[in-house]
Amino acid sequence: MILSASRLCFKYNGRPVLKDISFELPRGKILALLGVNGVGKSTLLRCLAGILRPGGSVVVDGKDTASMNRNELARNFAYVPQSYTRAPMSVFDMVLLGRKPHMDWGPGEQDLRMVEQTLKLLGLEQLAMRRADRLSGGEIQKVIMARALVQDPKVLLLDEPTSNLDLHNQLQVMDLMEQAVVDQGLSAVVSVHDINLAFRYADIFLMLKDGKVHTLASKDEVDSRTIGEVYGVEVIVEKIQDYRVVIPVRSSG
Amino acid sequence: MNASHENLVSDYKTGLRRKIGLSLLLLIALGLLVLFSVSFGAYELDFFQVLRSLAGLEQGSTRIVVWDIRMPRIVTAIVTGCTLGVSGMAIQSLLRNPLGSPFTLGISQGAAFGASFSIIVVGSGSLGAAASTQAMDISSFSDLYTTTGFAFFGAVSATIAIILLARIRKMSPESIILAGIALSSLFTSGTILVQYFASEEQIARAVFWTFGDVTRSDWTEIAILSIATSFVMLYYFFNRWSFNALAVGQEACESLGVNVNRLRLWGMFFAALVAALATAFNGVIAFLGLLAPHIGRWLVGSDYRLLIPFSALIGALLLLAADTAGRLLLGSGTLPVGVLTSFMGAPLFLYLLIKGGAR
Repeated sequence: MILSASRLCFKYNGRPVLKDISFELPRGKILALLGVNGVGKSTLLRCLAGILRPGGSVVVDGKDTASMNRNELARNFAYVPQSYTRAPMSVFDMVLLGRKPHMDWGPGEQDLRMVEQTLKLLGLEQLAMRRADRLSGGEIQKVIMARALVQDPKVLLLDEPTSNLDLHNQLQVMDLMEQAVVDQGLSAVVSVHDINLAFRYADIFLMLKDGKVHTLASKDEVDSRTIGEVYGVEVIVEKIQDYRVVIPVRSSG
Repeated sequence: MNASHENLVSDYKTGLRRKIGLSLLLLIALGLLVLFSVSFGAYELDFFQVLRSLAGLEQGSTRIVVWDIRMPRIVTAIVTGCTLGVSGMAIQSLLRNPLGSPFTLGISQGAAFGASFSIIVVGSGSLGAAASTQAMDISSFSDLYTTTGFAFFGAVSATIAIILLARIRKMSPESIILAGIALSSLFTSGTILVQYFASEEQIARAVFWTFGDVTRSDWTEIAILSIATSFVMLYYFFNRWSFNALAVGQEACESLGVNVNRLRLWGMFFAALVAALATAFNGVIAFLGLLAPHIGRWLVGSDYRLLIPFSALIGALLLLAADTAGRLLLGSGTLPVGVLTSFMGAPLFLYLLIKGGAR
């Protein structure tokens, strides 16, 4: 297992948000984090990234994150938050920031080459010298993905990377994640609202309800009853060609 | 693939070199402005006399005019400009707010209150014979250091209040700016209250102190401010990649291994401390701390490897230009530089806003 979370608990101002969360993620797999708004998906990702310090333990590649300093954590986890700032810096500089946890004094030739290779790999070379604050939503999300990949982590943690994107850009960003997992042997934990995207890309579903694990299963085991319980809706799950598709019917009230 | 994108590293290095070249141009402009500023004045000096004097080859009255009268003022303008530019840059970056500056956080108003308290309540300084602002020679004040000390104490009080609110109440950067505005108002009210009970002479002195001016510092004060600002700039430069990371968002910054709380605490402390020193030595110089980093960002973006020296250089250039312009405008007299920075700064800032450069 590349990532093991054991009995994670977290409170915001005394209010429990995460309760007794445990799961394991094998190397090279994508875990979709699902649940209603405010259930604690973003909090769980922040706890895994080490931005928040939860109770319980997180072990990555056999090492407990409690014993890691901030740079070591950043070399293991690349976290892509939901919100980002459009800083007036070049795309190259923005992606280069991903090398920060690996730098001593500043970026070396190898760091610069890595940024170049990643930008080319993701087809972003024509954006490299452009200002990041002048890019479209889809472009900036891909640049942020490039930064996460340049970080050379073991696990990608993505918080709703497709929110605010059109369908074309949603698929492009998710393809980038899938490509990174397959080509670079990474693993990913990604929170998504679109269950169809989760069915399309994820291997494992971690579904939260009331701050606890409701379902931890492979995507083939997730059915309409589970989705209905987690979201309080009635849905139909159909298989069209090779893909499972969720059709919402009505809210259960 | 477009051929022009084949070697991105080379393109990147070329862009970086161009920006470094721009900083050298600014440095040359500053050098020329220094030469002009030294040669200009009631005692006429040509460029060769200035150069010879700066090289230590002139004696007598030329040496006195250059080294004892004009250079302290010019070096004060340069160092104070660097200090306020870098301080404003750090405050804007750490609070992630384009309105951040020593003035917005109440540091300048704290210093003004301290100075007014010292002049009016403690009774530091004496007005001397001169009644007009122009003729008032601040160096003739009998106990200038008391006023400076109280001004520093006032500025540091504002600094400590801001740091404590940020640290203990865990305020958001937006709330810190609002707290700064509240503190500014509090100190301004305190200043008005103290002045209400003062004599006309004391009020004149207190008001004169608030006119930022670069003629008050001697070489000792210049050295203190230079050393403090150099140390703070080194600290910022050492953390330049953390500043770069903070520019893309607090969470992203933390996930890149930066301890944002620690960076914010120490960064703010140092920014406020040097701004407090600069204000205590020179009075209130508005707009510079706000404007210089915005011009820097307009030129080089949020790359703090360049923005730190650029903010300092632009701050120095602006303040020296304002002081030189103040001397040009009034002939043999002096217009306090704080007045001119506001006059120059406000339209320039509006221009940047309209052009979309200020972010």
